[in-house]
Amino acid sequence: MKSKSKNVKVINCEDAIARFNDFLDRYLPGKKQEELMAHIAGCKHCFERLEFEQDLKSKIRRLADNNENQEIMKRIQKLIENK
Amino acid sequence: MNEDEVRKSAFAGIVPEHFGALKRFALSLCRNEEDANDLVAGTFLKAYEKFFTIKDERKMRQWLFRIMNNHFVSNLRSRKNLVSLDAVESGNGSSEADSFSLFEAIAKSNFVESGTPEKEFISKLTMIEIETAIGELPVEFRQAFVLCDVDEFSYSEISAILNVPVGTVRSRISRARSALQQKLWLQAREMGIRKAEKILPKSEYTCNCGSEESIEKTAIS
Repeated sequence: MKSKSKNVKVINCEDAIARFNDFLDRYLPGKKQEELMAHIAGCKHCFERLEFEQDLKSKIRRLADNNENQEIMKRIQKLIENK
Repeated sequence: MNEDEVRKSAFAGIVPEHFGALKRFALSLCRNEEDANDLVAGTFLKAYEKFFTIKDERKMRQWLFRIMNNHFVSNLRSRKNLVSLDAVESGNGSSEADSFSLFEAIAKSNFVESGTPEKEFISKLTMIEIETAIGELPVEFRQAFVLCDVDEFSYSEISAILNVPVGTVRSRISRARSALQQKLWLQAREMGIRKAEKILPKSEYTCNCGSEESIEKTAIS
């Protein structure tokens, strides 16, 4: 089934949700992304669920921010210097 | 300069540039500080030995993560602790866990403290809670998930680091996300986060697809 206005295939919620992971990871091909966006634009539930997944992913990404340990790093550099 | 001096000079910037990311990945794999430090040190030493074998320096980060992962897997195998890949891939978890959605769980619960309970739930999540939940994932899920969601490698880069097909990477990340969300939900319940009393009927959260209702926001980047 195609929508009349944009010639974009209409997908249901189940299909949309199945595409969330690929979308979040920038792995969803253009056409499928277009179909997902068209669905999201008209479905509040899927829009909010995708927004939630994005927010959660952003929060998890913050784990990358705090792992500086100068002492261990210097020890490793010393190990290499002494090789 | 002899070969060793050239190598040391060329390698000098590699440790500070990649230490933080590798340390965090090591922590997510080992789940304790001491083993993680050993893994990071072992990774840099191995990288130093093989430094002149790298052909494309733009892939340095990916190369270092692959060395770390190989080192970790090899250690696990020597301790005979590695869960069989087949066991993880073919199940070793319920189908419920594979399709669990934290968003739906919050929506169907009585976690209502504001107009946007899902946003409130995320804002209350601490980094320690997230790290704990990630640490409880099966190791194959944990590797793929952390490389994707924390270190932001692409599926094909993760495939090269873990030496598994892209399809396997996608499947592990998908299952890891569901399992992680279920763990976060159970943690939240145990800690009494879900405390409000207002109960909304489930029907309020069913899909609005096809209804007249629309939203103004249409662009999600």
